[in-house]
Amino acid sequence: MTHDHDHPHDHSHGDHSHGDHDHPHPAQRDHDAGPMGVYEVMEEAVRLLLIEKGILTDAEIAAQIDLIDSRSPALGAKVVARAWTDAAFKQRLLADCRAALMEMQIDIGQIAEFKVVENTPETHNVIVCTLCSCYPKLLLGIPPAWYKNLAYRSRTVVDPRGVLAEFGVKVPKSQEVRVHDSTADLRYIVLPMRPKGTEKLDEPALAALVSRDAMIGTAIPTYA
Amino acid sequence: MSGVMSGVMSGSVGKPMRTTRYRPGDSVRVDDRDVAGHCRAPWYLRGQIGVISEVLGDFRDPERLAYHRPGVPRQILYKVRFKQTDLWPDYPGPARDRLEADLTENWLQAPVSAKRKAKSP
Repeated sequence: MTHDHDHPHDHSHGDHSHGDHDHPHPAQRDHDAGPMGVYEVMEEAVRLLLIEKGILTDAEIAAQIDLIDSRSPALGAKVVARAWTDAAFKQRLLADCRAALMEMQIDIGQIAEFKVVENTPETHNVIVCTLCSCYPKLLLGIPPAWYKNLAYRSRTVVDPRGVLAEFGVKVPKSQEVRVHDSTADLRYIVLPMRPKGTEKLDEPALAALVSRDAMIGTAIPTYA
Repeated sequence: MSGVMSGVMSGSVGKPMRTTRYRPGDSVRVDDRDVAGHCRAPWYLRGQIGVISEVLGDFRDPERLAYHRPGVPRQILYKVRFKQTDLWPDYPGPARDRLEADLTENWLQAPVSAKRKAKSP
């Protein structure tokens, strides 16, 4: 992150207590019950050092939090609904996710590329990151806690059908289960199949059928 | 993926992708070397044979980036498809199931050497 650094750092860090900074966006603890854990202390120490050294500003950190918080499964659901109703858009989305999302004013930043994998009658896709917890945050927001669990991350590659069954997804043996382990620079989003009987629904109504889990591959959209 | 081929990925605008060693359909074996430190090739794929399903682009090497190095030489990133029944001898699902992972060129070998190695004790 590069920026013109004009944030004043006239306070001493040698003896300060938290809360006495004159920052425009003082950080707030997410959880104030109980003493800080070791990682919380470490995060605060590193964050304050980065600010003190002029590598980041409070304002930039706050802006990044706001950016991530502006992304959510509802945004991803809009993209899915657009793909369901516009075949040309769907092809562009599958071919070049970054450019297609930009058509919808969704900027995915420079950290990673995104790729959409399409569920078909032949293939059911499911996403996992065994090495850490890579996730398309700039489309879907913060991942669910279970996505980061060691159990999900390890079992999904070993027994995907068993894991899917626990999510209530029964994949027939005639359909391939394709696990995507996002080990590198790409973040994956599943384009689920459009449920039957939804021909007359408009985009907002279709988007309402698409859950976060459907875009990870651990749910299948349905329409009663 | 037009964005890949035009070099848009990882900020290399206008830089043509260098020649790739493998092409979609090629069989490859994942190296089974040990690495100390940051590594993006999961252990369960090391030594396994898969097929290139896609050439994903030309990226800075994450195993160097992790140590504040520039990430060069850049690495071609491949999507490699494995049969689940190859990965797990007691895989409980049908033989058609697949797993795909994204692996850099420096982790892949031609499978000929893999067969030779597999036969050696």
